Amino acid sequence: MSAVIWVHADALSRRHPVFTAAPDDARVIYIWDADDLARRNWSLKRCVFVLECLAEMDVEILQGRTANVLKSLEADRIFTASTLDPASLKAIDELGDIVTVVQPDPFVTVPDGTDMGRFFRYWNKAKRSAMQPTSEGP
Amino acid sequence: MAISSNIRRGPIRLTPDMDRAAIAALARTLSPHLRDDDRYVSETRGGRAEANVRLAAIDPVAYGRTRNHLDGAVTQLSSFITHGVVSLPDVRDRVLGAVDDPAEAQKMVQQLAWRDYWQRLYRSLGAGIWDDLEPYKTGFEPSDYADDLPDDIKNAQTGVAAMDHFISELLTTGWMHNHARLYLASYICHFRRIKWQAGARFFLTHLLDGDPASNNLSWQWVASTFSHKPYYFNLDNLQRFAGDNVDTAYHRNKLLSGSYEDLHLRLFPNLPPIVPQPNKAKT
Repeated sequence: MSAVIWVHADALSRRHPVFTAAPDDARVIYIWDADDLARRNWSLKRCVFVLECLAEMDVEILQGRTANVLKSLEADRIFTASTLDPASLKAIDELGDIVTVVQPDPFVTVPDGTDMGRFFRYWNKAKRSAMQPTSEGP
Repeated sequence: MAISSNIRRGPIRLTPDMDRAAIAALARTLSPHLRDDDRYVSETRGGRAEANVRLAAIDPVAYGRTRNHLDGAVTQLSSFITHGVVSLPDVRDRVLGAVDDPAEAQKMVQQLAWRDYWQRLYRSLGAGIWDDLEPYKTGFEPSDYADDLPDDIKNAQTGVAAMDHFISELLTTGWMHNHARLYLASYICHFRRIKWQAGARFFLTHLLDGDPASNNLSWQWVASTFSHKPYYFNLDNLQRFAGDNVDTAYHRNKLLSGSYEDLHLRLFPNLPPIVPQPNKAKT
């Protein structure tokens, strides 16, 4: 079994639970997708900030289009942190069953159906769990 | 073919002791879209070590008292949160651990909740986060707003000293105080009548913490496409919160000067001349 942890720009931390969900011997990669960066039009300082985060993470940086690089790995399983980035979501969708998307620890719990139309309607439901330390749980 | 070229190029491994000039040079090599005149590297260094310094410096009481002031005790952790270097629970736990009475932590935890709220909305909106969520409440139609940012804004040469200060800060550091973001967004949307999307794209290019959720929805809040009324401000308000580092002299910021009643008439001439109650900044 070859397992890969695909690190992306929304989760630049070895403390993310994706690292405990994946096997210890999983290959850890980040994909530097120049076309995607051009689409985002990130400035030099944003690129440098991300590279500095990666420098602390002991991760292989691979260059190329995200979907192509992921396919080229020929991995049996790919683990990645959850993201809302449309391009990453598309790549995850294309991976199919071999991908496991790992959620971070939740910040708050709010009841299903909570009115999200304005912040304070959400906050009134979220406040109690937001003010609890993580170790105590919401 | 892209796959074979990926393999030929081979992996890159960075080490924590790499100097910033080498990393900046690598960023240029890896990113052909970067323009030659894009030369700024932020004073904020990426990585957990730097985030830990900021976590240790959190002072929830001072934050609650001064957060709306541009020189207030804000954490500047947002870049690290956006990129997942630290999580919202990490910061919340540190905030709660730094106070004797949980009530003293509430303002700061509430600001963390704003990010959670924006993310939840983004999850349901997807690409729709670039669309006006509601009509403008400014008396104007979307077609009344310009599509693109003019060069004087991109280059911090508007002639309005405080706005040029904020734009310069954005371009050189990749960070702005949230209240400064609201001022600049309001200036672009309402004083210059430019579509919020143009400003949002500009911010996402430069803000180290830029993400479409917090960024676009805050812009929509200012524009009034995600709020009940437009957010605008006057020079008196700016002078109250700007601190000593921003030039708020009248003769270099005349455009922003006036009572709220006067500005309402000037900025939103199609609306009835009511006495406005502007939104308060949510910093």
